[in-house]
Amino acid sequence: MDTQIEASTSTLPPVEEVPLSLDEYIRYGRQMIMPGFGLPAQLRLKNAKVAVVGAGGLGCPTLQYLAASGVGTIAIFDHDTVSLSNLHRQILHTTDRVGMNKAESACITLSANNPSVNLIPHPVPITPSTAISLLQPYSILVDCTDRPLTRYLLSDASVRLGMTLVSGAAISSAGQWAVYGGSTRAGKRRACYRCIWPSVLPGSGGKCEEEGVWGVVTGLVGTGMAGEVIKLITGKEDQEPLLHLHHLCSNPLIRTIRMKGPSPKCIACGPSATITDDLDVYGYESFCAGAMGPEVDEETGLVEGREGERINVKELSVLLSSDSQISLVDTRPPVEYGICSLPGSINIPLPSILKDTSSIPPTDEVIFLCRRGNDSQIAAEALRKISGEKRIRDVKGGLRAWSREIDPEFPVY
Amino acid sequence: MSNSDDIVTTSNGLGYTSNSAAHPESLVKPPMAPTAGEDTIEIKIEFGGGLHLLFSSQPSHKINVPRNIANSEDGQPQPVNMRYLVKWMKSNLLSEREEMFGDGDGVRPGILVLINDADWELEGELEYELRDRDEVVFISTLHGG
Repeated sequence: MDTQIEASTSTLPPVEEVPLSLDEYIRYGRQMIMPGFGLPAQLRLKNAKVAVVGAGGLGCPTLQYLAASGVGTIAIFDHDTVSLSNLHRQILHTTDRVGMNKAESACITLSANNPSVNLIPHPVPITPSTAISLLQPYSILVDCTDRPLTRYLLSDASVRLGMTLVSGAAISSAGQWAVYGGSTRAGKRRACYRCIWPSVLPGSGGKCEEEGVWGVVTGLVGTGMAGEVIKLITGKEDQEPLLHLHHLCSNPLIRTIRMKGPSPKCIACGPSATITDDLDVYGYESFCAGAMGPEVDEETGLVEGREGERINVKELSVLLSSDSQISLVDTRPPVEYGICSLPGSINIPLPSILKDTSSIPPTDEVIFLCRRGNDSQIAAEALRKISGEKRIRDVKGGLRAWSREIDPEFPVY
Repeated sequence: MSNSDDIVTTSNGLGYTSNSAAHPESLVKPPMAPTAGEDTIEIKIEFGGGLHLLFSSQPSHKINVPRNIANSEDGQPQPVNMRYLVKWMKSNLLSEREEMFGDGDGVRPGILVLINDADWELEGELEYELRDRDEVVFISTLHGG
């Protein structure tokens, strides 16, 4: 029997072990047939281990293309949960998964696209004390986070681990991305994130929640980041380090610039670097402190507020239904006022009030209102300084509190 | 109401808004001084990452500067350089507080300066000698995602 089989198969050439499954040849065929890609690039992708931090606006498009292209192992770090306000841009998550951890939600969509990828969800934050050990198993780090603290932490961790970092950011209608750290194929060291951005500009920590963001802008930047990762893995990365800047309304749509080399003064990767594997001793909080505005508690607001200066939404509701002569001034930007507003309120944006208070109606009582109760407090304080005889108050918690406690039909955005 | 100009001029990546962004009517047209002529060169200045809010909310400026300036040490004429341009911008173009942009003769760390699409450190920084129709871009980093 055995000899018979041997005899019948011996007419065919010996079958070599194929490195991909037959389905994988079909799945990846359209990219493998590109000149310069081929089976070797596909096998490099299959053997690659990539860590993506953040499965939000940037993480979703990045992860989508990394998994679909066949990156073998992808770790996804995100401790946040999916919310309804994420879905216009965080396209891996779904309406029925609101409330689910983002790393886990992303894995469901990604494995539906490509079940052969080894996806490792980490529903935990990356901190200075955990970064090195959590990221150690991976060779490329992708920063899809949204705040300065994690950006510098991930950059420092990647320098310590000798990983290449792909870092991107997007807010409003602008975005940027680049490859940092590691070396080019020609052996030239790249600047690390800190070399290029040695300090945090005050006010640069804007959040999408406050300033808004176009879904297509995070989409384009995240897609660009995935492109850099795939180019790095397949050995097709840019010869010289480049930084890409995108603005939705600019021409050209993406401006690409040549970046400088590593800074000799860099405290992370320079010859006299002071940052060590013990990232816990570096004060990330204080380094980034200037970037963000103050953390504000709804009850206390920006400042404590003296007796009688602040009212809650219940008191506002009573005042509005009485016939007292009160001006209710909504200090939000006109675009937000146009989304929803309280009947009887007038819109005078905070910058206008700070510049000139003459547009405020000359009633004896003025109540300021805004989205959360912070800007209205600043407006009240500004008016109080120049008109002592008026009764000036602001509404704690703003329209958010109004919707929560008085009128659940009032939109929250 | 909203058009692409609105997006360019009032939407930015930084956490602050300038007075001029809130009040486009208060914008002062930047000076063209000195006027174009044989002894001047044209420089295109652009702002990204929200930095235009420091400069009358205008993302792009075309200005003329003298082709030659007096050397600070011996008074001899020398080609105009980035040191002159940054100083000129501080006194002629900047619409917000100087410390939001400048640091000594240069710009604050955290602002990236590009000359013809290259980091200015590759080009000599403040000593770079400007040529007619050079493009200088100032950008700041973004953190959102």
